[in-house]
Amino acid sequence: MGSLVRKSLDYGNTGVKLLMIGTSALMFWAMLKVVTDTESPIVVVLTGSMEPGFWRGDLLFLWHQHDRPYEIGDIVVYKLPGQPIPIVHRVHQIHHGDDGEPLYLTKGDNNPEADTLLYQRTDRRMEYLTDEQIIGRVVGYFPKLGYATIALNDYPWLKYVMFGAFGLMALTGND
Amino acid sequence: MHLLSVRSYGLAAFIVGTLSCAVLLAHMTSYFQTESYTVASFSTAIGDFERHKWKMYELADLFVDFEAHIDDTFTWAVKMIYAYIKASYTDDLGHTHEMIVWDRRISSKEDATLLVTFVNRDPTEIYPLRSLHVGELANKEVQLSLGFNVIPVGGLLRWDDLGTFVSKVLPAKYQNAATAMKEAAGMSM
Repeated sequence: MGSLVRKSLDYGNTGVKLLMIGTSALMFWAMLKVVTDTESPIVVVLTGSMEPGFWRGDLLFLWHQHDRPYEIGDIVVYKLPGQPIPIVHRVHQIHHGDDGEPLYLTKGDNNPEADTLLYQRTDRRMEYLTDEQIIGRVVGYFPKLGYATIALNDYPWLKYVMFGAFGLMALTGND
Repeated sequence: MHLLSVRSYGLAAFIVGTLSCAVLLAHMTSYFQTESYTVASFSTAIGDFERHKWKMYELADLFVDFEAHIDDTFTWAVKMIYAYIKASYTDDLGHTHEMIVWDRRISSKEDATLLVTFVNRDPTEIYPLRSLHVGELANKEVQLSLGFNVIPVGGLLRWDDLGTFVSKVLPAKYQNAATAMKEAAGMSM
């Protein structure tokens, strides 16, 4: 009877620890969002459009500085309306509309063309990005660390294997 | 015999730790390196501008010839240098329009000597010197500058702008291609 209670307490303890790890990670993510003022402070490169500067799996750190407008040559991350995946490309043109609003044209370093056709997949009249669509500017990066994310996307069954392994370790581990 | 979990944590910590050390080292040593960009020559001509055949903007012909050496900037901690020429002009409303008219990705020290001549006059060119609207380029002063984006093997990215090299005023009205070519033939600073 005593051992059953102890085992239950151990399971409870492990559950609380997992919850704490989860909430700490969420809090850290939320804090990063506030500090960098972007909805995605860290993004993983998913395609080869910025090679050889950035390769698939590289981790990029973003910053959105209100006092520093985007400039030519900046590498920005933007999200098109209705598209869930953000795109990392370089600012190639900056114009200003009649109302003075900045308009940006981007291009992947490794792509043969600018992104106009990419924009027009979501809106046929769209020729430029506006500030609203840009999530942030890339200020730093860490090579290859995001490759796990790509592997999990490419091979969805890995998610189940990973969660299963973590669950098993959490339940059976005693150190 | 260690548990699988302990081994996994150890392996993950080793990978992340090693990568972090490499990135930190690359970033720290970058403070001891001095950037060196030597522009040996930079000449240009802006011959003509015309309205795009079917779109509502203008395109200007641009001829550039330059030599630059950035070998010293390409150290072990640098993965790639993105070199670009930026053209800019200010419209009648006072808004500045900027665009990249040439670029190159340099990923080895051997490629870090730039001997470049380019003519940017085809309307299908991916890097045109263009306006946003029709009637915007006449009499406008176009400035050309050279910039670099240094991407290290890990850590913080760096941008270096060498400032304006050339400033040219576009003609008051559209010229024909022959005049443009004639002007281009005598490239000047």
